Amino acid sequence: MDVNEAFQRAKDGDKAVEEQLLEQLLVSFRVIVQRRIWDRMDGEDIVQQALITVLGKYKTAEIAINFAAWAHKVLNNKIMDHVKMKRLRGLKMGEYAGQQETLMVAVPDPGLKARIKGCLARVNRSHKQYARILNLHFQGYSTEEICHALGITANNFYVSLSRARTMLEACLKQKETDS
Amino acid sequence: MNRCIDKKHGDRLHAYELGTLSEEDQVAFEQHLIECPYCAGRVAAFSEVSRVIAHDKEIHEFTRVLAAPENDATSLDQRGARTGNWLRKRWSLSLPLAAAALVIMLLVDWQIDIKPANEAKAAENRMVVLYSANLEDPGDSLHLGDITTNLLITRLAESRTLQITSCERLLAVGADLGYDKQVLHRAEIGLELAQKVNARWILAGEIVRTEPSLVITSRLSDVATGDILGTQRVEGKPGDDVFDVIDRLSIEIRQDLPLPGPDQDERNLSIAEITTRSPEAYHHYLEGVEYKTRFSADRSIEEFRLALEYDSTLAMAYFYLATLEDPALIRRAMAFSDRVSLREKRHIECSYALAEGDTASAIESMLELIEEYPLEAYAYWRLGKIYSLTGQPQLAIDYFENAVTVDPGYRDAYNDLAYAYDAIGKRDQSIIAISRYIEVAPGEANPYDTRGDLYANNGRVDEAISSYTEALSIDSSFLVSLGKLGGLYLLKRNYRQADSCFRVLTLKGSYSERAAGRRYLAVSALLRGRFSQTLLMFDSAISADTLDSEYESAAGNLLQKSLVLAELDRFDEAKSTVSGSLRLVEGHSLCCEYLYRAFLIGYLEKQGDTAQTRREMEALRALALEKDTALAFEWYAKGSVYFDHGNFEAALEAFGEASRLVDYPYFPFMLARTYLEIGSLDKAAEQFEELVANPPDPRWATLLNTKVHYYLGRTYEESHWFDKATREYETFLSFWEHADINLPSVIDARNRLRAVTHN
Repeated sequence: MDVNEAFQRAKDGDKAVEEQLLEQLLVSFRVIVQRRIWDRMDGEDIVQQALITVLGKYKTAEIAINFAAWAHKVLNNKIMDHVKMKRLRGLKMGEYAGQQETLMVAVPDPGLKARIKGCLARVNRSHKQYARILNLHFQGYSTEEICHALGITANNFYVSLSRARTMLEACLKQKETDS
Repeated sequence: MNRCIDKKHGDRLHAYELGTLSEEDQVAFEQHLIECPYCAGRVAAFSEVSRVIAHDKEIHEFTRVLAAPENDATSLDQRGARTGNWLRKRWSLSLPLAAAALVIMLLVDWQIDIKPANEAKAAENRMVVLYSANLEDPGDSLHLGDITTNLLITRLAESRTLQITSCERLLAVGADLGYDKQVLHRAEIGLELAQKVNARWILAGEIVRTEPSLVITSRLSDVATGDILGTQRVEGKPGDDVFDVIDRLSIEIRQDLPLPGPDQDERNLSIAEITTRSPEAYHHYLEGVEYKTRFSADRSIEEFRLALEYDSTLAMAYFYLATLEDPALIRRAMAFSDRVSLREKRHIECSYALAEGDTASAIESMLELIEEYPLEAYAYWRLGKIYSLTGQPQLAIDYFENAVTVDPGYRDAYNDLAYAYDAIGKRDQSIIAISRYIEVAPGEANPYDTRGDLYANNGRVDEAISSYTEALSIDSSFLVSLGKLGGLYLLKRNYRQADSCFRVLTLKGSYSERAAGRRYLAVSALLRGRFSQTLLMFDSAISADTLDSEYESAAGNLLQKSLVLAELDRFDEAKSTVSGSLRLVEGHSLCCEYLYRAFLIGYLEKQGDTAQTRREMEALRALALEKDTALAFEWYAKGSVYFDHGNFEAALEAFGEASRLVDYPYFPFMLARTYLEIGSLDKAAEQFEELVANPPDPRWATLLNTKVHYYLGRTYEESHWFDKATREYETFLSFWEHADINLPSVIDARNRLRAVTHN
């Protein structure tokens, strides 16, 4: 069911749909937060707070555009509040970055990096543009600059990444099965 | 839901994971994630992977290696150099020359050498095939002895359970023992060789008759006991050629070998299918390999070309020509790679992948080869070389160590191992490795030259001079050492000795060595402050380089000349001179356009030519989008502009970025000067001291090497370390006190010296 339609039905009092909607929000909120907040516990707090806000306000709030945009705004505000709070607590950016590094180092699966490397090499054999895009991106070039450098359109750029991801995903699955 | 509700957004999923979307697009995509459970699920399932890809430095480095077109040889070199002392690379090559040399090094395949193995284990299955004596024609006018021996080795080496010592290795070991090739077929010498390479079996063969049909006999014996394990005799049938006879002989030999059953993985191809059908082509091919082993490139090229005239599908001839002459020929080798042995095929694949910039596939082909032939030392060495050139010295060390474990007589591996240890600062181990090389090949000049490099890298100048001198006493034509020796004499300010070395280099060296000699002579004059003479010498070097078609060197000399002109405040001439470098780059498709453009921008800025500076910056930007190295030079150019405008904060960032990306001495030099300008004296001193402690190659950093003492003196003076300041000013003036042009920096240094002495 479309999320906006689910929102309307939940607003009209359909409890089952409301539960389904919250479940869907929980998954997507976690995905979004995980990418922006490195500390998993902090991230989970933000997700829960955002869900509480959504649950408390969705029936009464004036949602001008669509429910997804509104829910995203709620989540985004929670993330921004969290970042501000961290700063207020005096956690300097350097320390914060250091903390991120530590969290990053703690990759749960030690073989993952090796598998990723193997698959990147494999993808590179048939899809060389992927490594070039990644390399330029890691050097700090914008999408526009990368497209210019490689002589491709933005659409080609996204499709190229998408194709590579599919190949990467398949390869990683294969490697996982093999191991 | 099992598909995305909006493909346009769905296509952006990975861009989102990697963080390449603009803020606006990111918001739109996150809203899509809320609406699309399918995409949310995909991102969630892939979160760990995308996080590692997006943020892990090791993965970024790996990707950089994969993205080979950006990964030009210069940047590889410089990344490699960052991990250790940069002196070694700088002593040996200028930046443009280094780029060209490293491309060759990446492709280079000194010899396809079927090397012996781990002593204890491999000796069980290792065999030496002695040169076949031609009884009918002792002079072997048709080279049948060579041909049959090599064909037999190639055929037998296809086995995965048998280790065969190559002809090249046998020749090298024979030479170490003082034997000429002509006597290597003798039984008593063969036994000595076999013991030396720790072989278990020895195969001695004779060509008994060539007409009306070829007859070859051979004897297989056990090295330890001397027992004859079997004798073989093969007579050609009507219509048979040498290839057919070798095929049948190799089958008989295999039957007499006490191996554990047939080799299941062995391809059942005839020798002609994995070499050629033409004895003439094969003879020229073998000659080419032999000349190559003796570093006679011109003769080697000639022979390989002749081989191809007889058989235009001889893949290995293309393979070697690709390393010696034209890298593009590796594509031809690849096209015919189904007509070579399995080992050779993997090596061709590796070189092809490297030529295509596909380092990952090159690595994979070598790993596959090791899987198929675990005792293939050459594959370990190549892997070490690749990792070394991609700035991963620890991995390189692992593979070089494997190579010498598998083959304790592997000279190149010891050589590279020594450099790799040095690159990570393990000085003792690097000296141990090179000592092992000297033990293996006491009659070679190269290990002494390498040892000289290692000492020079560590500031042990006198020991380095002794080592280079020793290399030259072993082989006076080993001019690489002569150039380095001259360089060290320059460091010691023994100009007479230095110039003498360089003059010999300009007279006796190869084209590139002559070019290096000319550059050094100009540098020697510059160090003594003979500016007018320096400019004339650069002019003469540029003309000679052009005549010798040494365009890289000419472009480099033009840049060096422009730096001298800029030092003399002649920016207009400096600008036109470095523009000459750019013309050469464009005219001859040379490396490192960004290098010259970055310096040109500096000169334009000094002249206040804003419009032209902007145009040049745009051109440099376009180059920076293609290459890491160019990006560093773009930062450098920006830094120079900021520095001249007095925007030191921005200059600091720019020079810092440049230094972070590439190890090039002008970057830390300008970074240090910026620190000095803003009063960060401790940081300025740190950078200048590093440059003094590890001076870059004088051929392209003489001005810097000299002026660094002046700026370090100023840094100390401002820090009120007057004694140190005095020493630095004195050092600076000792170079240029009697310069033929009174430079402002010299006048200033004199005044400052007087002032600090009174303090």
